[in-house]
Order: sequence, then structure tokens, then C-alpha cells
Amino acid sequence: MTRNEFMWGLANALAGLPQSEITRITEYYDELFNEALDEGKTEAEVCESLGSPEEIAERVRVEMAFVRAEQKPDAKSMNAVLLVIIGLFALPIGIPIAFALISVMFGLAVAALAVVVSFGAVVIALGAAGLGCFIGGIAIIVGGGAWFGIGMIGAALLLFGLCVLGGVGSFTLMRAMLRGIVRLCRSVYNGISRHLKGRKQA
Amino acid sequence: MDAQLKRGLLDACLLAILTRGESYGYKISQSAERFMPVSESTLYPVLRRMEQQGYLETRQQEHNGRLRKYYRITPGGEDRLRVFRTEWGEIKRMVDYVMGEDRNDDAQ
Repeated sequence: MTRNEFMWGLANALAGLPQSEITRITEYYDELFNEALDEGKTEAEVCESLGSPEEIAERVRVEMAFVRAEQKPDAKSMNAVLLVIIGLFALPIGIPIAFALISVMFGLAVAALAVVVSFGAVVIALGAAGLGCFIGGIAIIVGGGAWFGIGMIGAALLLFGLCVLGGVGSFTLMRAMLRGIVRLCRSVYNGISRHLKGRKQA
Repeated sequence: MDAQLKRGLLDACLLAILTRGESYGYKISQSAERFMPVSESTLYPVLRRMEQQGYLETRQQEHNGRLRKYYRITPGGEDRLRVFRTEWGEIKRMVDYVMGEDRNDDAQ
């Protein structure tokens, strides 16, 4: 076979593959021929050592399919997760565990809510107390007790200040707790799926 | 030879060649010819696959007025080679045992 015959046969056999791949392959075998001929080999010798272009093209397709198959999301691992979830609920021991996990999550959510509500109550109380002092202060000033009245208004301002601070603080706290819960859920999920993957590889 | 086994063997051979230093297509096929029968050394498909898998990387450099493509092993490729060596240590022990048994039977 001559070099041209080989390269022609190769181009034909590779028909259908992406142009970028065809270019790579052609460059590779061009380089191979150039180097071999430089060393003194004949075209026939090189062709014989390479085998048939059809066979090479076939192997190229096989290897490409192999790479494509590797890159697909692994059906096996997703099935494994599903099976475990179903299995958890099917086993006599699975349902209690699942419920336990859900209960813990629920308990945490309720606790978080309780904290938020109590903070809210304190903030409201501060606000109400501030308002009360303010009104009382004005009443006292009107009634004639100027200094005492002013003192009451001062107290009211203090209470309002604390109310605002409390409000901002509890808002920040609420956001932080929400983020913490989300992170906890995510790490639990990751832990479980990593454990399942580990078992699959074993 | 079993196709699966052959793929693994060729991968490992190429990685072993490249771990000694980067090389180019023609020189790689010369080195590989020492282990594999000449007619079976269709290296390109395997080199390309290993490049896509991240075990090798390539670069082009001019040599004597022509562009030459150099192949180099990556850290991922080194890891892969290490795995091969570990696994084959065990396989080699089994193969030695099997070969040894045959010889004993012949002696009887």
C-alpha cells in the first residue's frame, strides 16, 4: 500500500466523525509517515506496521464510544440511591429511621421558630413599654411634673432604642438560623450519598 | 488476547513509557513495539482516549521544519499508573502461581 492509499482509506473510513477528530488523526499519521520516512523506512514498511486503515478507524470509534460512556451520569449510582430510599421505607427498621430523621428536622425547625417568636415577643414588649412610658411621660408633664415627665420620655426613648436593636438583631439571627438549617440538611444529604457511593465502589 | 485485558495492558504500557519523559508519536510506537507485536500497535486511538480522560496532555513544537506533537503524562496519569502497578502486583503473584503449578505437573 502506498502512503496516499493509506491516508485515503483512513479518510474514507473516518467519515461521519467530527472534523476536529479527523484532523487530529490525519495529522498524527502524517507525522508518523514523515518521521519514519526520514529514518529511511519505505512507505510499504510503514503501511504494513500500521495495519489497515479500516481497522484503525474502527478502533478510533470504539475508543470514542468508551469516553462518551464514561462521561454519562452514572445510571448505577442513581439507581443505588433510589433503591436505598425505597429499601429504607420497606425495611421494618427503615420507617422508624426515616421518621426519626424527619422528627429531628422538625424539632429543629420548631426550636428555631420558638426562638424567633420569643425574640419577637421581647421586641414587641420593649416597643409597647416604650410607648407606654412616652404617653405616661407626656401625661405627667401636662399634669405638672415636668422633670419626672421628661425622665419618663427619656426612658421611653431608651426602650424604643432597645426595641429597634432587638428587632435588627432578631432579624439577623433568624437569617443565620435559616442558613444553618439549610447547611445542615445539605451536609446530611451529602454524607448519605457519599456513603452510598463508597459502598457502590466496594 | 481478551479485549478488556488488552486495553488495560496497552494503557499501562503507554503510561509507563511516558512516565519516563515526554515523547512524540513515532518514538512512542517504536518504544511500544518492544512489548507488543508490531501489527497490533495501533496506538493513536488509545493515546487520544487517554488524552480525553486526562491522563496525558499534548503540545506541539517545531522540529526540523515540521510540527511535532509531544505527549506528556499528567498527575492524573501518574495516579493511574500507580493503580495499575498495585493491582498487577497481585495479578503477577497469581500468574506466577499458575505458571509454577503447570511446571510441577509436567515434571510428574
